[in-house]
Amino acid sequence: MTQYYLTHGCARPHGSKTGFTVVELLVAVSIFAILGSIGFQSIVGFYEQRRLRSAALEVIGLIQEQRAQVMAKQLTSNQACLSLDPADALSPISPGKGMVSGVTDLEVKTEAGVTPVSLCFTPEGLVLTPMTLVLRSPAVASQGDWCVVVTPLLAQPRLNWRPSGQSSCRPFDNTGGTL
Amino acid sequence: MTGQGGMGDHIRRQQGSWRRSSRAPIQKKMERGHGFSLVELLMVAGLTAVVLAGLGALALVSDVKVGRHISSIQEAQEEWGRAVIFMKNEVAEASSLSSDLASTVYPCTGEVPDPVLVLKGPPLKNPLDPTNPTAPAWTVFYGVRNRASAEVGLYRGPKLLVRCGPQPLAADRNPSDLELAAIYGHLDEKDSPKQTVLLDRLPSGTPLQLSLLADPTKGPVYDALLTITMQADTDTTVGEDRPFRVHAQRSP
Repeated sequence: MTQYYLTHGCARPHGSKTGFTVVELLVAVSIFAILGSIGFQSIVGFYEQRRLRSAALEVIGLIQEQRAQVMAKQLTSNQACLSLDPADALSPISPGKGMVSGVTDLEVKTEAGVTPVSLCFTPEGLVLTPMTLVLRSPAVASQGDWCVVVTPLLAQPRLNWRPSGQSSCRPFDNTGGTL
Repeated sequence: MTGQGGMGDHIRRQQGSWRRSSRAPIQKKMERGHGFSLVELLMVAGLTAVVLAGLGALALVSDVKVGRHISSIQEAQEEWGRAVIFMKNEVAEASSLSSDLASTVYPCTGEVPDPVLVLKGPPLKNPLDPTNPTAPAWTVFYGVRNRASAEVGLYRGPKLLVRCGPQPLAADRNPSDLELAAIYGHLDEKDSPKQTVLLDRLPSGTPLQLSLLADPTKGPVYDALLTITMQADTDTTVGEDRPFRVHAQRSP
């Protein structure tokens, strides 16, 4: 009966009385291992990408908070600026602050590649020149980067995406039309 | 008799055969004393896994779509609100409103917005030195223009709400800037007028409806009723049913 269960439907040679051979088992295990490693890499990349997106959302929150502080306290000069430098221990996105800490080796630059990033508001909460921050994680840099675009005057932060190999960040189009 | 008995046995056997053949395969297996083979169990497990994975993927895609739809609407509402507050604040510093460019040169490059709301600022006296010349009058334009072909990819939607005028004072205000701010309000008159896109995702048609609340032939206009419509998503608009009133300061 055992022989029937192991050999039935498995294209065993006629007359064979054995189950699976070691070679067959090794081949099967190898195939599963290869598929598993590919799937694991995809899942790790997916979660790293989600963490990077969360980091961008946290940066948007920091920008909103800084704007509210500047307007409430009528801050000027350096006090009205938000410094985003992961290497600076005083920056709110430094690893020691616990912000955006899930991203491995987070990089924050302007679209032109300038670091560190500093975003300044007027006492009315305005930003005079548009600014685009690019958030990058080396682990998923081959897929693309998340961007935070701060619109001029209204200082409205938007979450954008820059595919790998592209030079500029583009907004998502939810209107169904052409961008 | 024998023949009849033989025929009866045959019919009973046939009926029994039909009864057995109409039973479910699982029952037949149980009757035979067989369980399921390993291959059968694996196939069932595999098919179940595929079905569950498909349902999970559908749920995930649906969740992402709903989340994107909601965030798109929230973003549009927030941008609309900021633009309205910004316009109301700036209009509050003006001394008159109009919707006519006939007597005014549009100072920014590119397409002239239509419709347009023209704010004219008051020539305030210098509070620090009243004997000195008064500050110049300022003019700011708000309007809707078409999105240029070079702006495809940068802005969404066919039309844009733009502002043309002197820029606000910079963030690094030094005492002289603060002094200027006291004189001019928040605008930097030394800077040349610039055009800034305040809102994108404005639909085609009439995304900005403007009505002045006084007869322009009978003196300066101080009030206007505006409606700004944004296309938040394929089937959602923002601001269409929320007209707002702007009010300029009256001359003392």
